Amino acid sequence: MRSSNLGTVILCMSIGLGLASVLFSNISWSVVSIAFMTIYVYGALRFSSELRRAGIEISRTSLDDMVFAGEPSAVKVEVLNKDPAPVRGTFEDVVPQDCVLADGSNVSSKVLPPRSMLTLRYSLLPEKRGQHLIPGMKVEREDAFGLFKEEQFLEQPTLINAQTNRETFDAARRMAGREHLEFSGLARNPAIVLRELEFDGIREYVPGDRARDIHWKSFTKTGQLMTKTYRKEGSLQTMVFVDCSSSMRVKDSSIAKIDHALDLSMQITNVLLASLHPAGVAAFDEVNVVSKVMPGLGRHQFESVVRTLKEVPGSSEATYGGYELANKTQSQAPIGLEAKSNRSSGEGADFLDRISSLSRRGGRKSLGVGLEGAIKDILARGKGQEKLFIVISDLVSSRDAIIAGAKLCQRSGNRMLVIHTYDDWYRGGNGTSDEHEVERMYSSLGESLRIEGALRALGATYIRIGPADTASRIVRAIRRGKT
Amino acid sequence: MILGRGIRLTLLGAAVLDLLIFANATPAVVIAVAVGAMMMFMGMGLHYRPAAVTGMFIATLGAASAIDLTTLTLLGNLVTAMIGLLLPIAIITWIVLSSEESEDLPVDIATRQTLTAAAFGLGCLWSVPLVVMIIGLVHTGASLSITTTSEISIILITMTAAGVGLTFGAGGKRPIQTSTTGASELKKSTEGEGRPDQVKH
Repeated sequence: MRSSNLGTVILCMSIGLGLASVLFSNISWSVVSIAFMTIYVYGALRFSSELRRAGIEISRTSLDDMVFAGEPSAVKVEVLNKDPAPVRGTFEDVVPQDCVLADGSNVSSKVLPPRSMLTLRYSLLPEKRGQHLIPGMKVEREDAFGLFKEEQFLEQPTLINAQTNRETFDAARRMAGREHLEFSGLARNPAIVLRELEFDGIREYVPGDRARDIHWKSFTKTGQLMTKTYRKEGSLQTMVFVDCSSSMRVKDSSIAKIDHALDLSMQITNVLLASLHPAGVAAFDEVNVVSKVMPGLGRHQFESVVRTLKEVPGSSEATYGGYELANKTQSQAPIGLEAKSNRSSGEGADFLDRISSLSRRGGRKSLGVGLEGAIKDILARGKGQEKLFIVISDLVSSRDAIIAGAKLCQRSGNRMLVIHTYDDWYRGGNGTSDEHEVERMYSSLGESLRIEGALRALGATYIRIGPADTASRIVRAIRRGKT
Repeated sequence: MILGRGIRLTLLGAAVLDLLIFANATPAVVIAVAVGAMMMFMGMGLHYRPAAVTGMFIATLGAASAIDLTTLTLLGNLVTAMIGLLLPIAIITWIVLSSEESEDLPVDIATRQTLTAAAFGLGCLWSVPLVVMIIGLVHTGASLSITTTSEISIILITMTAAGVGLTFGAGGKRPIQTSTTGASELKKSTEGEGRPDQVKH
């Protein structure tokens, strides 16, 4: 509780009159000083009893079911005064850190009568995807006499989960009608969806082959009858895994890897669903699967995918020390072998220990156990049907798990496509590079090429992407075999 | 007890008259009190506290300068100080500081705060006779004549000590935990009694 300007004036007058009474030897001034102080003390006692007694309840709701980054979202706050005394002051709903006020006002200066309600309506604009917490409401209270002020904070957290930009959804919808991801193989499930027959090759003619399948052009050249063979495109169960470990969530340029990965996963899933391939999505971090929706072709499958991806944590701005330490570990560690852990204090040390334990020789490769476990779970449910696993990762924290997953796919006859969000292409920077930086980039590239070699040796398809790569380009690159 | 606007204005007028009665009403004093009273009534009428407070200062200082008290050891002077200065100025200050309140002002006289504040004011005023009495009881041979400056010092020391003691312990931040459940339940219960007033922003 602090004195307001008027309270300070009253107090100063009281003190001044007391001094004046000493100067002029007149007790009357002291009596006036006593009168002012009496009211000042009365005001302080009354206000403190109001503060101790006050019962204010707030209720906050987000009026929009789906909140998109870059678009305003309406919020309604109701403040109820349960106390028999009025509450005077300024009520301010605290705006989260990465949001700005789009419309309306989150501040109200009112006298809230006893047992009455104040309603505030305003719009928040989340600047980026992720979770935004409204921590509570700040109330700057005044007493009835205007002599004192007290700032109180009413804790009432409300979480607003902002999806990615609406343009991403529009792009996904447009792509679903246009693009077609061909990653086909013979489907073992007899209930296939036949979209088109694709020329596969020619073989020797066997009695019983249809006349229209005979390859007449080769007959004129070789004099032998040859039959054209076709490959049926079948529906392929696809699971998209999105890496949401800490290295993915660092934002060092205009777009964070995690945001790009989520946009891609949503768009690729939509393309797959539009092509009638059962598709699902899962987000995993260093130790477990954060959220998952199994492959399906239901009417609301895409909504389930969007809801699942909404739970992925948002990005955070890069800090020099942590980011550099994390990448130093990546460049020093060969694939699947030990990594030196740089001893540093605090959060950097925790992160490095986690990385080093991931790539320890002979160590348990189950960290990133989430990805392996999820793949095993899907294979177990799959009843032998061929599957495609698309993994979008920066191959920093979850490298070993992805390699283990590729081995698993190779052994079980399934396919894996690794989309590598190459770290150096997502970095900001001032454009100038010193010698140390150039060396680091070369070693990163060498490391990336080694990982690519390892994954291809395990039968996985590999594609390296940057922030400029859209889902359309990736899908076309896969279709043209440019991976 | 509810004090309407009319009652408050009447009380204000009575307090101003009280000041004039006990003061030596020279023309300058009358003018000062009149100007102050006019500003107070204007501030009350317009719900504008700064004007009312300024008028209060003018009126009270004018009246206080007209009352010459040299000692509080005499009962007459004590009564003059109490009824002629302390009580009317306290009432004027209280009314003027409430000038931005709504029409009807609920007043609860028998609360702990009111009694404490009254005890504070009277205690400060009666501190001088009390101290003199104690000195007289303790040191029966000591001279009981004290100077005006000593009396003022006693008053100021008492006022400072009591004022700091009472205001220091008051207040203190208390973050209020809230719950939407509580708000909705109370809203339902108040809707049963009669819809709570909606203050829309």
